[in-house]
Amino acid sequence: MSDELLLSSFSPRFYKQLQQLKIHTRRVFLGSRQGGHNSLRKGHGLEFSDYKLYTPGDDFRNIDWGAFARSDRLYIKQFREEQDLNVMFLLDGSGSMQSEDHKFAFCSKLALALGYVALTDGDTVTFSVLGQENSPKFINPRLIAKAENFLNKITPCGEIDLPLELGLAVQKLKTPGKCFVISDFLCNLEQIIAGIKLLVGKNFEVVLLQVLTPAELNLELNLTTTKVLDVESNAVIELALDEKSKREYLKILVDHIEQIEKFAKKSGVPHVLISTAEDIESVLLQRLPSLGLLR
Amino acid sequence: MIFGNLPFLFLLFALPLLAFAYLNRTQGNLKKVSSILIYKQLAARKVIKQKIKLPLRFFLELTALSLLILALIQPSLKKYKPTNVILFDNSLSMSSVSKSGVSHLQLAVEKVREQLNTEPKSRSWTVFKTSPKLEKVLEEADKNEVLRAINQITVSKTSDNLTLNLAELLQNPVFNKILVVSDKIAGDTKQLTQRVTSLVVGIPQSNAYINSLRLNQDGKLQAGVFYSGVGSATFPVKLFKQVGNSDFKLIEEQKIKLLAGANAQVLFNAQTVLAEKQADAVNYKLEIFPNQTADFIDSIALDNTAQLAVADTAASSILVISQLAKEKLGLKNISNFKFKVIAPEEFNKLAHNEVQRYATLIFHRTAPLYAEHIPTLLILPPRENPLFPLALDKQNSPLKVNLPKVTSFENTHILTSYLKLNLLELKTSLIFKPSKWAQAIINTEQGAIMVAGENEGTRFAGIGFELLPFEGAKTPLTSIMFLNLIDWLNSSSAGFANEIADPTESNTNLRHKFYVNEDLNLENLNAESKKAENEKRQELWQLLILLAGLILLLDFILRLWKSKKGD
Repeated sequence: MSDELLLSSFSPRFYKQLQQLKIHTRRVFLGSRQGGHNSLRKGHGLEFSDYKLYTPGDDFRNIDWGAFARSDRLYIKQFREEQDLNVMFLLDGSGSMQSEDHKFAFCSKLALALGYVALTDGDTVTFSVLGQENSPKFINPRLIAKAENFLNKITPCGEIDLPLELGLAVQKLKTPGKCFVISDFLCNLEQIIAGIKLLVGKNFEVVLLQVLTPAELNLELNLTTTKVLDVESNAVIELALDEKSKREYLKILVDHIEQIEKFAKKSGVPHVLISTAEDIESVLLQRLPSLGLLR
Repeated sequence: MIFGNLPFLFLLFALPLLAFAYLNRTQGNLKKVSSILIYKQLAARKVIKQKIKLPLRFFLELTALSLLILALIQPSLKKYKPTNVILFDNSLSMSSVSKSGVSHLQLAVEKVREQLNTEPKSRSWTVFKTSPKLEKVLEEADKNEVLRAINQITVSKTSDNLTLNLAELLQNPVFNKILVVSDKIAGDTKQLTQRVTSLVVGIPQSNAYINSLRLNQDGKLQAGVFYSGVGSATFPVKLFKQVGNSDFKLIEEQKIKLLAGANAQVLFNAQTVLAEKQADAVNYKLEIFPNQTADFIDSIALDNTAQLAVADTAASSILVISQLAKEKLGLKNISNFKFKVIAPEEFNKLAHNEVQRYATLIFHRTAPLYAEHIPTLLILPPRENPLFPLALDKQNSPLKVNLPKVTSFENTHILTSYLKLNLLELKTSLIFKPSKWAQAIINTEQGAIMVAGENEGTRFAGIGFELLPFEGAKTPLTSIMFLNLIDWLNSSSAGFANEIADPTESNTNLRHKFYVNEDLNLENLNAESKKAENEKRQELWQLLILLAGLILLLDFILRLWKSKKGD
């Protein structure tokens, strides 16, 4: 692989480690081309699926002669075809992702690293920035730099309606697949629930990657701060923070995260909380594999 | 409440600015966040309560700062120690002798003795006499000392103004009980409050007296004669004239008829020196000759004569040597004196004889090469003046003091009469060196700013600050000071001895021919009373500093407690 096609922020060693990984799905999806994942489609493959009675026209190379000797009937061996997996990365493109801690950049890198994992495994990858635009489908790992260019052009802004935007992002996909929703999920719980329900209803295997900055996780605000401005809605709220209110803030945040996690668990959707302070390599190579999301 | 450093009061205006700056300090602390979702919930739970809470520590610090500023202003409360006063009338009327042969003064002393016997022994008294002006005789003394002092008071040959004197005493809240001992009822009915006890001695004696003698604009003399007897009386009034050192000669006689209790105005036909334009000084003497009858005894003979000395206009004029014109010096406002204003260059051209014609010389921001034997006033003299050496600074220039504060003054000197020198506020002043022959009249911390003295029979005065232009009532303090100076300088001159004995009880005072604002008679009792007043003050600044310290301590404890709580 030539250097110019690599992402500048990832080291060659990390690339090699990523090439060892594979997106894990619990379910089998229908692919569109040959790939590395078991498919619902029967055909050429290595994994035996079923027998069926021979009908004229079947490929007699698949006749199980042993079964014919035992039963005096012609059976055709069917194999599960190995196809690609549709992997979608749905990135939150609202203004809230444009934080001082480069939250969106972190999410982009996370999506690109996971996308590279999927592409090296022969999957089809689509990046969709909610509220903004969708990338073309990527099938070649050598074109990951193009995906990076696509994401780098995006400037998160404005407010989004999460369920609506999720619906718009997936409506053009003919076949469902694996869907990584990467967001801070600092919006109403009802919207998050509606969004998850929508994706699950459309037969996607959803993974929620909640990315928060250390300032959000620990309320690293100066206590003299008395006004906070919502970059998404430009709403201002006046505050008089002290140690007690800081503790209260953390309590509310933990409660919010726990409610998302609770609903995700109920829906069979993995939820991973990631801080932008974390090292992406450790997230990709240790945390996600340990959760069974990568293998 | 009295403030020592009032200008610091303006610092208090900075406090609202500080509060404003503090409350708006948060403008720079606006923080952008991804979402205010959590903050909204936080606000719903807690922050609204937090907002209502006052920033306690800030207000504590602001209060401490306010108290420190107030301490800087040096406020103090007047501590009143009630004082009892005896206002003793020693005017000429007190010399009236009753039929028993005892004077009103003696009766007054006896009355005081009787009154003091009825008062508690522990009570102390301050004694004032009324003539020639209200003057403190004794302060905070016991009964025996009071009687001793009163016994030594003699009758003054001048009038008094009991009503004004009493008003002045009533102005001072320290005086809680005032005993007025007089042969008249003290003051008017409004003044007779619970604080005032009027002790009237003797019975009104019949008397005939001259209560005024004045020179009219047309140069004719006019006199006022009062008769306090029974019915009416007719008696002769004689006007005498004295030219130079010659004897008095009768020039006019009139017979006047007076009703009891009525004042009669007598207009004389004789032309005076003003009309005659004589060169020599002329004295006029007016005498009344009341007939002694069984019903009428003229109890005071002293008030039957009045004198008026006038001089010709040429000899009474004052030569002012100044670069400024007469109008700019405001001397046109003084109509009773004739001022001639010339420039210093013109003065140098004048012959000695020509200068000698003037009654007084006033040098304004200039000085002669040598002193004439003419009463001279130097206003802001240069260093090279021949009369009063000036204090010099390091550059050998006259020492100029900005905003000099009067520390003491000669309160008995005629130059300071009618003046509240405590109110004298000067921008700048020259300082005079102590002189062997001249007396320091007004002193500041740096030295004398007004000196005056008599040298070989001629009076000289030096003023280190600006007295001119003369603006009359607009600047009463300096205006009266200027008139006092002219009066004093000319008192040695025979031509200006226009003072008559005014033994009457009228308010007429011919001592000054110019207008004097009577309100200014209510001067401070004396300089010492102010000093004593200072001692009687309850200083508050120590208390304020203590309070500020306590608040800061509380603030510190709060800070410690909060930091511990935070840990």
